[in-house]
Amino acid sequence: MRDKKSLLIKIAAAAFWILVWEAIAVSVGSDLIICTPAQAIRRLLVLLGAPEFYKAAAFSAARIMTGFFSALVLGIFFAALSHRFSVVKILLQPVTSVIKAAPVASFVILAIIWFGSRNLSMFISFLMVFPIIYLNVLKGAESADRELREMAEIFGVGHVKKAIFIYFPQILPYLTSACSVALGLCWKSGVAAEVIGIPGGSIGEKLYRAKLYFETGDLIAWTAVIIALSVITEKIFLMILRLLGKKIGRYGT
Amino acid sequence: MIALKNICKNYGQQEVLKDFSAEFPDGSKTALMGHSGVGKTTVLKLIMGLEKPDSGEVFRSEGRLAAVFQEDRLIEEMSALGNLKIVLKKGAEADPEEILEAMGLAKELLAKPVRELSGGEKRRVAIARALAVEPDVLLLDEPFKGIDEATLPKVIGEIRHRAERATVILVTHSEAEAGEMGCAVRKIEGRG
Repeated sequence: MRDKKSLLIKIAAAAFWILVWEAIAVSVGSDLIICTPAQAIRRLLVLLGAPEFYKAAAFSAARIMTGFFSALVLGIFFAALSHRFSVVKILLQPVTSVIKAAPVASFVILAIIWFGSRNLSMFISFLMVFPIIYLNVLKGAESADRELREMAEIFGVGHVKKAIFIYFPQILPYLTSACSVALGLCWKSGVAAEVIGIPGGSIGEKLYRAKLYFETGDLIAWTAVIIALSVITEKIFLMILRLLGKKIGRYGT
Repeated sequence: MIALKNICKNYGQQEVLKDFSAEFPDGSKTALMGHSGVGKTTVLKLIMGLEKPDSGEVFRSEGRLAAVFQEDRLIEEMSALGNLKIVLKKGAEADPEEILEAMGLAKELLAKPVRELSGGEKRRVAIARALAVEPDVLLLDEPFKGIDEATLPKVIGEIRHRAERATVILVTHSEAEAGEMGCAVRKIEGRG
């Protein structure tokens, strides 16, 4: 009952903003500047019917997700190293600070010069995700229960078991919130990089062309697609993390 | 054999052990007793290697070590069975289910996350974990805290039976517990 009410409130809020959008579009009266919701939906349906749409989505998704997973693996790996060896932590501190503070556009331009534009979104999403995963996992590892660590030491629990059963459950809340933020960010930054680098056949290229020809409907439709992809990947990944947490909790039963 | 020779240990300005020496031969059962703060837990921590002495020597011969800490130190999200299995080496013969049931834990509790158990039940899981590794040295720091009187004899009986050949060092405030555990009492006076 409560869930139903909360769902209704969410739908009502969304409906309100769609009406606001409709009112603005009607009052502006130019679909070059802003199209109506109906026009955007029509464009989206047209896009969904074209094979090119799926190719572009696959092209960008493959690269952005590769960047994300590489950052996830290396972020966890380096967080573990930093937790064990403080020299690694000291060495990585300026790197993560620079990545966090520098504008994405600077990295995009550098990456275009170094690698070209084809795999640009992979590199940029890696760069945006790595510090988030690394810093959060490190924070989780550092706050891991000292008493449990001592217990594991006394009982001679092996490194793998220690990592899975002592550290992972305590890192999981940090990793979950890091992944939630990072997944949204990697899509945003990845597509933004594609808009600058314009690799052929990418979502970024479609957005760029929409901008070039003032196709506001396409722009909004592609934006909706990016949001949907971002939300879907986030939901799936967080569900996997939740299941993993539960599986570890069920160990031994 | 465990031996502590001329141990001095301070925590900041506070002197806890001064020139403390003790020997615990293999298979011996000893209860360390004394007022709060005289360094009983510190002695156990020195033996475990969790603390280093400021001066003096700690010697412990090779062998499996197990401990029941003052705190339960259980993985709360994991079941009682999981908490035991995590400390068992590959190919270990101990049957965690059998040990937990011997501790008076009902079968239906074994698969529940430990956080859902009562204080006394958690304590018994912590003791069962220490016994599951079939230790050569068993260190018990106030292990019976929170265990009800009806269950206590059963728990003590299990420890005595399963750690029959182990070197046992028990920290307690109760002479009755020390006696039931078959331990020789070693009083620690203030500052060693």
